[in-house]
Amino acid sequence: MERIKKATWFFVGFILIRILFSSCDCNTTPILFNLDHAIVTNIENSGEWAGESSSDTMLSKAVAFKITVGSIESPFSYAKFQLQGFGFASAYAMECPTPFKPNQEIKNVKITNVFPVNPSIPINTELSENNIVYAIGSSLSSNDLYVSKKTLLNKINPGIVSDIPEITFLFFLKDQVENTKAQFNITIELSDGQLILAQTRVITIF
Amino acid sequence: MKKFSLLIFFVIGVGIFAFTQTPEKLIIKHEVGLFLGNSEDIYDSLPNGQNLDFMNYLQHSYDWVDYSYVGISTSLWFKGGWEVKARIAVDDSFNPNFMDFNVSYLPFQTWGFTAGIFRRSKTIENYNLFHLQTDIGYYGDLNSNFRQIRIHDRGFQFGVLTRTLVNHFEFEGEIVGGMTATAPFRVFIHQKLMGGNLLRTYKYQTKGTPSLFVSPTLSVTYNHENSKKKIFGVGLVLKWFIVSKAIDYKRTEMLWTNDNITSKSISSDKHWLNQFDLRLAIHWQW
Repeated sequence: MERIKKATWFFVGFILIRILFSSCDCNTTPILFNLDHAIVTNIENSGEWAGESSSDTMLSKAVAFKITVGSIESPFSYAKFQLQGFGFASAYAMECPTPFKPNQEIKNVKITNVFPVNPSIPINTELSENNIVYAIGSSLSSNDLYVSKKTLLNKINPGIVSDIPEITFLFFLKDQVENTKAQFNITIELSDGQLILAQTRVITIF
Repeated sequence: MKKFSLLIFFVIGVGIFAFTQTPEKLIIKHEVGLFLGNSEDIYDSLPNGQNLDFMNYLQHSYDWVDYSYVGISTSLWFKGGWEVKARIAVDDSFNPNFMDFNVSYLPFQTWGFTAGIFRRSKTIENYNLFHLQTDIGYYGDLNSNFRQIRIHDRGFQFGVLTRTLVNHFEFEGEIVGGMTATAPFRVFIHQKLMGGNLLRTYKYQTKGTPSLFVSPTLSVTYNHENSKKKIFGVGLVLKWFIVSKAIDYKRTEMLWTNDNITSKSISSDKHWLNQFDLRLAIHWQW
């Protein structure tokens, strides 16, 4: 009887310690991932706020896109890394953010136009800070202005990103498009010398 | 708020000090009081020009008075005709409304001199209307919150006062003049071009330009003395504050990005501002 009592107390103590570890410990070791592809999404920015759009039409002064740079692997493929540690994996006192860290940094972003934008920006011009501004993240708050490419590159490599293994930024054309069509090529230069190429869809301007 | 708290402690401290004194000492009379009052601002509202004029957007209620407040006061009467008075009041949102500290010297029985410092809070609201009305083709203010800021007028004053006792009634008249300035504040207006990517931000940094003012005050108090020589009093105070003032500022326009800026100093037109206070006060003296 005494042995059963001791064994029960030992078992209860073991479970309690596991619960404590489950409740208090968030995994802070980042999960590494590769930057190897980019997805371009259209942004509807003719109204008060910028938002994603499935339409391939934009106003001539409101041409904008979202670039998502990430891994070709699905974020769900990293899910197994979250189940680490001594505690119960599903027993949280709070939702722990999953830290990710890209293996490379983004060193440069080059944007060129496929169609002439206007007489001063002919075909295949590398667009400069006079033509393009950026926003960090996937949206702009009401207090934000855009940022220059220099600021973007300084802030876009945060080291750790939470929950989703990807880096997102927006770019906005400052010039008015004096053409019925617009399309842009995006080249992202990484710290390991790799280039990620992406292209916007053909946009009808009205 | 820190200064406000310090003044509260000061007023309470003076009150405690007063309680602990005896009439034979330096202090010959003590007073603590409560008051409540209403304040009404009447001011010039000038037509919109090319630049935002903050004075056009002072809070004004058409249904009731602009500001209501309650406060505490404490006074000490010293030997030789010197008096010290401190007051502090909060409005109906429990925000500091005004505070002042005055020293008076009455070399004669019925008149004397007074000097002091003060701080008075006001509210400016809906100042984004200027941009909403004048910046055609833009979303005039991307911040959809109700625009309201508290501003603080600070100043100092000198003047003369006269005081007469008729039976249980005490009549007092005071006229002071001095200088006041609104403490600098900063506001932002964020805008976006309709149908376009262009974003711009206006940053307003005010300068605290000083203005001269004049302020007459009339008060009448009924004092009732009990058998223990303690005095309970109830009084009415009417105060008029006249100033011609402007809120000048530096306006910085940021276009597209934070580093693309142009700045300009703006001198606003002066507005006549008449502020009337009607105050009911009760006090105890010993």
